[in-house]
Amino acid sequence: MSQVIAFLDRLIGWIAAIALGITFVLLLYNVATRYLIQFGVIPPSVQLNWVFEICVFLLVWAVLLGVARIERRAQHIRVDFLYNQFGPKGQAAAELFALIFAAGVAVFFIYSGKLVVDDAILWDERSETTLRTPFWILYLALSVSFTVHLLFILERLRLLITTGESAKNTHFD
Amino acid sequence: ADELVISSATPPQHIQTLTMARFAEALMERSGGTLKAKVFDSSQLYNARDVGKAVARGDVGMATVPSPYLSRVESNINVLDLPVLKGMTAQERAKMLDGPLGDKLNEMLHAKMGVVVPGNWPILGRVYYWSTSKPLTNFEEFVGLQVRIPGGAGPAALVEGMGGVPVVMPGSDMPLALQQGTVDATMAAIESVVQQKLTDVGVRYGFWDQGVVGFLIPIVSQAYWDSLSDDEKALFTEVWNDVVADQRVANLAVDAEMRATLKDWGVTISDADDASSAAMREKMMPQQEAVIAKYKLDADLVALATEAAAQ
Amino acid sequence: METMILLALLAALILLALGIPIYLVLMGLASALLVAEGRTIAGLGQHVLDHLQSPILISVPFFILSAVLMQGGGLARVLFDAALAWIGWIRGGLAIAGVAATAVFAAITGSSAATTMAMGTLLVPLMEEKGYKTSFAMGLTAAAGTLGILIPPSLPMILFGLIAEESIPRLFLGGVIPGLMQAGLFAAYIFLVANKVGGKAEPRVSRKEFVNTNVHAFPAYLIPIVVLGGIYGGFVTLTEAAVLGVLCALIAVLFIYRSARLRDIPGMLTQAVDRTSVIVLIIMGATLVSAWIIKSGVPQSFAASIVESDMKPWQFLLIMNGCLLVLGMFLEGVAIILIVLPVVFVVVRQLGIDMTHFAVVMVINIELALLSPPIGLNLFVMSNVAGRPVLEVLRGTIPFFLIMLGLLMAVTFFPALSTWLPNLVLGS
Ligand code: NA
Ligand code: NA
Repeated sequence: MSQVIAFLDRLIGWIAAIALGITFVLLLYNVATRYLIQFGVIPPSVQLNWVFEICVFLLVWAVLLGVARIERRAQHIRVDFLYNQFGPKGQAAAELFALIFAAGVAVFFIYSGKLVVDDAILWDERSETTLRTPFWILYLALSVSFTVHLLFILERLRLLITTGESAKNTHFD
Repeated sequence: ADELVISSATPPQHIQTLTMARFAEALMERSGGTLKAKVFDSSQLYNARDVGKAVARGDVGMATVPSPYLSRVESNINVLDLPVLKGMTAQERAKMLDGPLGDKLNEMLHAKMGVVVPGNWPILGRVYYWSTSKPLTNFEEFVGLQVRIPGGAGPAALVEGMGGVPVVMPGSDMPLALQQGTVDATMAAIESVVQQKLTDVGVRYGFWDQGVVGFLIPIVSQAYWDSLSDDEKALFTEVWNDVVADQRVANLAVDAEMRATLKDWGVTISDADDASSAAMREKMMPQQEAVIAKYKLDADLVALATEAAAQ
Repeated sequence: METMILLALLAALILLALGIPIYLVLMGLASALLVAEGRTIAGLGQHVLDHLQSPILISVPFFILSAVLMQGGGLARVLFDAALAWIGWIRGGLAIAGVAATAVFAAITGSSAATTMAMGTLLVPLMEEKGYKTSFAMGLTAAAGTLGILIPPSLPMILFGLIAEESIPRLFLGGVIPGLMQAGLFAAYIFLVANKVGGKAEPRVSRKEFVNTNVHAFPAYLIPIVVLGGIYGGFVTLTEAAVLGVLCALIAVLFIYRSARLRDIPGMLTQAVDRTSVIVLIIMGATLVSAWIIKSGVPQSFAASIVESDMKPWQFLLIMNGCLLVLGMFLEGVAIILIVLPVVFVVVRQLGIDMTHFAVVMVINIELALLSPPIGLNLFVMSNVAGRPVLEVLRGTIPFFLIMLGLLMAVTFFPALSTWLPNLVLGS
């Protein structure tokens, strides 16, 4: 179980890195071609009108997947001045509650995301550029990310209950 | 009937919001107080791009949406960007939309998204070209010009047809891009030039190519519509069409007012004459075929548009 | 409805105090409230997905990535060493050099949290090592980090320009003088209290070392020059400037300083996405909360009563400052702009207040919000970065918070501080 979770974590880390990398290259290409066209070095036809759209799609996926990675490391920003006053039992109880709350929110957005995808397919919502990319591809990111998110929360719950181990003390790496 | 919640994307004193406020008032008055409506302005509830889906789901009762945003769902709306319409005035296009072409688009929207179009479409305004250092007084000046467009095959075809280079860029990047000369010109409604003070970033010339006139599509959620009796539905449409008739007149006045403002700010605005815009229209027919193929535009719609343009 | 808002606020405070992450509290609570009042479940997911597609948000990961590269690749260190060679010999020189390096950093990123993360990792251990009190080091860096949104580029100002339909280049220029004033006031304060907080003067570097440090830092100086030059001198858009900043930082760390290897880059990309996620998800939660508050109609009736009361501009601005300070305790910048601006910018116009002036007043309030408890993003970021309790960070920020309140009053009563430069450059 733990190995599957660790693999998933590495996988989405790679997906996020690749998505940001591709976005970077595409935006650079856009700047470079615009200037080369202006100076007459290359013909206008190389300009891509869908760069920005692809960047949006990639980054929405990357950012939503990032949420799950952050949750696994308990690195989401929170107010801990009261939490730090609790004893070990109090902290464990607070974390149990926090994880159940997080699982509830995750389930809500998995379901909500699924409804959004259903509607987008029904309406056949597509982008305005020449690619006419179907929007459900972007919308799917919400359900998929929160599903991974939910798996990571369940793993943390399992660790908390079986070993009393808490992920609460990690910080930004 | 339920209380109608109206989402407006523009500030309170903007003609679009004022139109909605007048409609809400007239609806209340003429129904003897049984039909109530409340307007939220300034995109507080939803912005123009996203409000269509909210109306379809019933999260908000009514909105008027710039037509390109709804073309994400109903691509046949792109028929309004076809070069064949070049040369038609705002009023002539409004008349076309009040007829069979508009009815067909309204039905398509209803079938696709389940939203009800309760009546006529308000005018959003003429879409001009604006440039900083390169003068725009006739079509020849567009050859080789880098023109920022918001996206879409229709606008791209229009720019390419004139010999320019379309550059797709979001509106938020446009002012800096103009200031810095990353693009030579932009496609934009006159109103955004005035409101964003694009003269600050160097806009000096405007050009009306007789190409695109924007329209707003009024949409109402099915849930709200179903809460009305047949008489109430008829009254709703009657009140709406009366308000739109006034809006269309007011919109022309706004256009004239903004042209005067921009003249004071030192912007030279030129208009394409009928002959050269007719010649350009013919020249753009190959691009038109490509747009029709790209969006798989309904043949009847194209025929209706061509017929309206010929009158 | 006012009762409901108070109850919701109470629930939020309890959940936050239990240590539940901020984004979860905002998203969970707002979703429950919105569904209870009849909003569709699909509509809420759609809300999040639609707001994520904002063109503004596209530049965020790149501004953060260049910060990650500069920090991970030791560039922040290089900039800081150069600042130290210039002004380290003054009393409190190390801390003053930290403020200078932070101001330069702020000119590259548009986010305060990113600035605080990058500078905090570097400055806090260094200042501790040199004998500064930890709470002073953390407080200074958290407060100086807020410059990220006052000195351009600034993400909140872009958002402001989009909502109020104001010229964004104009708003950017409005923040320059107040931003430099904030950095200058901080430096002056450090100079005055240096002896009390443990800051000694650093030895004056030799001429040869001074030249060497600056030559070494030259490629690092180029990054802000390329980014700012790109934006103001006129070559690229905001998003593209962020991308070019990343390109320069990459070249510098890979080929010039050789402080990172190619195989480190994927990890840095992931880290940049993770940090973006942390910030963006809180923003999403905040937009859901504001969707609920706006529908209540409470903000609109507030605006109506202001216009009726025949108020003077300065009275209105003072009241706004009071409201924004209270709101800023609980909300972050983007949420404040989303809730307040659509309601008040009409009032601002009607009272004849310059929009650039109002934007700068608002951004300074947002800076203060980043530092005010119970929810101050920079306090948490600094606490995370330094691994110390939030209360200790908070204690350290108090003097700087007061200085910034003074700056806020100056900017409120002297509009020229924010309008002179944009009028000079862009015409009035
Ligand atoms: Na900045
Ligand atoms: Na705060």
